[in-house]
Amino acid sequence: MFQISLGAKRYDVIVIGGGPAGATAALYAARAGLATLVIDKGLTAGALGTTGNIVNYPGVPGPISGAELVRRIREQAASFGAEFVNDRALRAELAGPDKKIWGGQGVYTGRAVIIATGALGRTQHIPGEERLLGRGVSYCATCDGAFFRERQVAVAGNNDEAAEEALTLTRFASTVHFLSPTPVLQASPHLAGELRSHPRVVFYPAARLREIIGTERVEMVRFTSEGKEQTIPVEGVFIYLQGNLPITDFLEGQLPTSEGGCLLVDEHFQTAIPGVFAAGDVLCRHLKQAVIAAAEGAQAAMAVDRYLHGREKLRPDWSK
Amino acid sequence: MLELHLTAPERESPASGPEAGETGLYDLIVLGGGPAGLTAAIYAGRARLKTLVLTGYLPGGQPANTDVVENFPAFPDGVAGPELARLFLQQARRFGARLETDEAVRVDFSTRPFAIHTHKATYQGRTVIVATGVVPRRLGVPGEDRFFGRGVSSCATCDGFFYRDRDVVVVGGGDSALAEGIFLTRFARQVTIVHRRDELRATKIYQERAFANPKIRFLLSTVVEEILGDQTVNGVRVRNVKTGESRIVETDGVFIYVGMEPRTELFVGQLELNEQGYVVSDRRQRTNVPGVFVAGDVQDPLYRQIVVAAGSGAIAAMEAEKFLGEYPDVSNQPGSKAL
Repeated sequence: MFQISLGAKRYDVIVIGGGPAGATAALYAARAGLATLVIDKGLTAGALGTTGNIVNYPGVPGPISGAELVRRIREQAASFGAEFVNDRALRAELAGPDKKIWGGQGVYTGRAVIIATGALGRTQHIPGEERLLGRGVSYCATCDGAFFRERQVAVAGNNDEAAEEALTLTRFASTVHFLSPTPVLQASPHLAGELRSHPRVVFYPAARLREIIGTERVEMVRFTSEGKEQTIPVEGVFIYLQGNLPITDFLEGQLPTSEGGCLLVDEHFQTAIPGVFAAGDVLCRHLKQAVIAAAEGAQAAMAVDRYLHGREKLRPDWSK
Repeated sequence: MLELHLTAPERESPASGPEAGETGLYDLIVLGGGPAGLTAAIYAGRARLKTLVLTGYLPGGQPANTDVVENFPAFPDGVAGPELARLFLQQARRFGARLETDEAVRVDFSTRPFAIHTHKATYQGRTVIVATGVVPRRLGVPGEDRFFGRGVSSCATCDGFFYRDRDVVVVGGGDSALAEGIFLTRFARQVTIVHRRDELRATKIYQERAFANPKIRFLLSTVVEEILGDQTVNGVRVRNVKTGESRIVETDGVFIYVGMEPRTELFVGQLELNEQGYVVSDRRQRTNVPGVFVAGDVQDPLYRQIVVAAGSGAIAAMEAEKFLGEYPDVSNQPGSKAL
């Protein structure tokens, strides 16, 4: 994996995840005057982004799509100065006063971090995935795509992120075998359309990736598509599958979790590491309720503000 | 009290008012019609609970008296407070909640179902969500009570209009004081913000806006000792806490933003309250009385944000629903825990 340093910008707070919790945290942090960066995988990468008709978000009669609701919160956060980068957190170094987050596009530095990555993580690895990670298995086409010039690769996933990463890979790979776990792509129509009509993409509907095969490096993938088993030769496998686990893999065990893998926080949403906070579904409290996630994000951001300003207590005013 | 300055966005006039002595039984009675109570009603309605909301006389709660709400998520251009209140009310009603512009005067959490006595009727609830919110704190100085509503106010949105080309004093140094002070410059000739400390407590964004506003001046390290007037307010006597010097500032109106107090008088002796009078609850919004839940500012001295109140309302409603599933028969509900 190669990294580009993104200049020397040091943010007050880095929010990982731009769903209702992360975007609301960004709104509150930016409005409080904090230099705020949101690292996010795209509008429809999270649980809310793939939800249709929402009618119970208070104040928004709806029905409104989850993606639109998230878009509005992000626009609001951006209007107060929050920056957004389309990237994926791959690794983090959280101890000390400067927290570093490695993404596909570079390293981000912040004085505080709010983890709002949600709970669409996978429960299980594919056989061969862990063993061949970094040897053909990757989660980041932007980082590793160039290694697969004129080679065959497979992409497993069905959302916007998977579609975008596959399209990135078409710039390098000779063929991109796209394994969609669902019969129809769940990506936004323009991405799905572009992917389906791309001459270098072969689309496999209702595909289940069974095994990644190779001794030193990835050599083949075995999968079923519409019930039929196939094995095809590839040199790279890019995985964007979703499950229902809190997404904490990039933390590599730096933070304590419950048995179910949920991040543990105190009453002010701070984790065991000072300056590192968490909110939303990654805490597994009230899954998939946008207003509750948003409420947690607001509280985490106010707690970050207090942490950075070393305040005795939060401002007790209710502000507008 | 805010109720004296009723500019509610929408009066609730239910098609079927309560009959005299009515004893309607509800799955859930929500006390309070602000963001917490109404979000609870939206969630309860979705869960098909028979729900009554006693909104009190300011349906929509504090947002109804707020000029602009900038930080309620999903409103990128901000939203007028009364409009946000209207949206909350409309949504709660659409999900089937009955909304009454009435309020509890006495509650009994020792009986099952719980008994809620209002000005007009008595209702029974298998569960209750307390979301009565907070009211502005008073200064407690001579003249304050006498002139309340005649020059003394805690609602710029309601009363600002009366001060066109006049001078007003705003007491306080937090977000509310500055936000309302800025709002008052639309009408007033000059706004004097009086704050007892030598620095403001408000968020940077409000401080910057207030400092940039030519109509606003500050009297820091200064307390109001008396509100003066004849028929209406004509001045305040202030004292500089550092020099001890006392003087009179001429003004036509006084707006007080020195914090909030929880509305929990009705629950004394029944619900566990903390030293400041806020309802004590766990993270699931449960009180010491099984079946009675709490949401919003009445249990939150710290954050006091519309979205945080709404989130707690959603949790309280989901917990009430869960409770009703566990105890379908009210007579088997567990009793209160000792205070």
